[in-house]
Amino acid sequence: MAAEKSSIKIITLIAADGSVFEVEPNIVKEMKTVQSYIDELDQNTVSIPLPNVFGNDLAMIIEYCKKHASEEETKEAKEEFDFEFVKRMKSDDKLRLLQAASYLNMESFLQFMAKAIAAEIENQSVEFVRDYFQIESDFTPEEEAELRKENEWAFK
Amino acid sequence: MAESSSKQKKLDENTSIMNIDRISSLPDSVLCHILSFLTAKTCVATSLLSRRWRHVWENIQVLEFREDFHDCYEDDDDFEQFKQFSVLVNGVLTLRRSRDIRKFVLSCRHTHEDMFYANSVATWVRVAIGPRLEELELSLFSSDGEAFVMPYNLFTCTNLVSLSLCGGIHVKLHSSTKINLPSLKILQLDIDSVDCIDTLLSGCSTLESLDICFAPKCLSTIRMPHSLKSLKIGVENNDIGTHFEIVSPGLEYLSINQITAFGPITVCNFPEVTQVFLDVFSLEESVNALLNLLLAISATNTLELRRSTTKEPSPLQIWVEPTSAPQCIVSVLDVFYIRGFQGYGDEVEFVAYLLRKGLVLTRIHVICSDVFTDERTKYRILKRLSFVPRASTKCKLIFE
Repeated sequence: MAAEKSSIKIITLIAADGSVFEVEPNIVKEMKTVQSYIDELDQNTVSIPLPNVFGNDLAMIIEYCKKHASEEETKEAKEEFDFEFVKRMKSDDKLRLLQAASYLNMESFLQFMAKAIAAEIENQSVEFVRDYFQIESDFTPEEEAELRKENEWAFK
Repeated sequence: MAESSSKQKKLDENTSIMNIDRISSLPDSVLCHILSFLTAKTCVATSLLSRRWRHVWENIQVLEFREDFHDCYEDDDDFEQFKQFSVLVNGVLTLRRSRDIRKFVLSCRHTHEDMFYANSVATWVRVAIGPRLEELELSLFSSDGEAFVMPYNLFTCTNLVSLSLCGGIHVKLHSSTKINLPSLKILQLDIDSVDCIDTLLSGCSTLESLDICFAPKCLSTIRMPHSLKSLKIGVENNDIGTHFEIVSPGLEYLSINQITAFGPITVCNFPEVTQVFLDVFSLEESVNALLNLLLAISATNTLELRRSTTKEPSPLQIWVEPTSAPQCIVSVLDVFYIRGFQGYGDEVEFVAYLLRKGLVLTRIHVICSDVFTDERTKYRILKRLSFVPRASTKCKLIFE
């Protein structure tokens, strides 16, 4: 795939806040949203606006993609990187990056974030998860009580 | 309404950027990604978050059930708990909308004394096995010592990529059993009993990772798949001398563990193997096996030998220096670990041999066994080894 599009040397990504990132084509291979944009065009330089992703988040995503696209890095080094990558993130970072991954249509990065988020809510109460995701319940107290009773077997 | 709420969000963005529900607006497929990493119980609980979430979990294709039973002693409590667990499993299996199961994880107790346990587990496993199944992980803890017999149709799941069986499970095969697992890449078996492992392996033509611990039952040759990249093998009581054939030129990782007797072994050259763990100290009369292995692992830079038993003799005891030293020792080996060191002469001589021959060695770690406590002997050995001329000037000897 990379060989087909060898004419393109550099791809410019423009984040929502206007910050600009110049990356090599192999870095954006996983971003299907970006890739379909590139495939439609036939020119040497491409500049792509990403109005739904902020610069800080895009920087992190590119850092991840660079590490994982590298052929020199060992599997262990990549795993170590992933571990540290998640460790330095706050909950809101993870949720924002999941959102970005969904928008950019990045399968493996989406999986990675989903896993990191799941680890934080596994075995937690409904109240905890609501708070974590900032979800406001739109059930009436009666509805919620009824649902809770209906699925009682899952709350033991 | 929608407009004013989005305006409100924008206003809030600067002051309280943390208070946005980022998740609920994402498509179901993304929410299902999160659910796929949760146990089924937590998945069902998400139905209470809000209307948006009410039915999302019903589409999950990854089902993970783990019975939490470690701190239960009373028999009645035990049963009550398993009953509750089975209500959960049956509830999820009945209410889900997606008929396909891609991944199924089940970890629970199992006994034949009470048919409720046995029938429940058998039914769940039957539900899981199907043409869409990609991953199966089954851990059963049997209290009566009687194993759960794996249904045959598991072995013709053509889309199965990963299979992990652990505990009270019996894989009952005959040499004529039809095995067709063309997609299987990862196989982990640590179970009560498995017959005809060679038949099983012969049906896994693309297997890349094998982690297996078993006691061979019949005198035969067990051939490891040609496609293997990682092999971790433990053999218990190979008194009958089953022959192992590891001819997998793409192998990258090799670990041989817990061997009470390892029979004849045929290996090929492993140009890709960089890390090797060998627990071969209870090999009997098999110094050739050790030498053959050392010759095969020509690209290994990290080697670990472990002595897990105090039983003698060790293969090092009859270690005779080969006329030409194995290539890995001379020109590739970087770090060598010897664990469970007890100070026997053969162990010391082997370490001395490496010191003399290893041109690129940087470290040798000697990690003493708990039973080896004689400080004076330790000191004497250390002194003896420090006088050995070292082929590599950079080589450090670390005695722990």
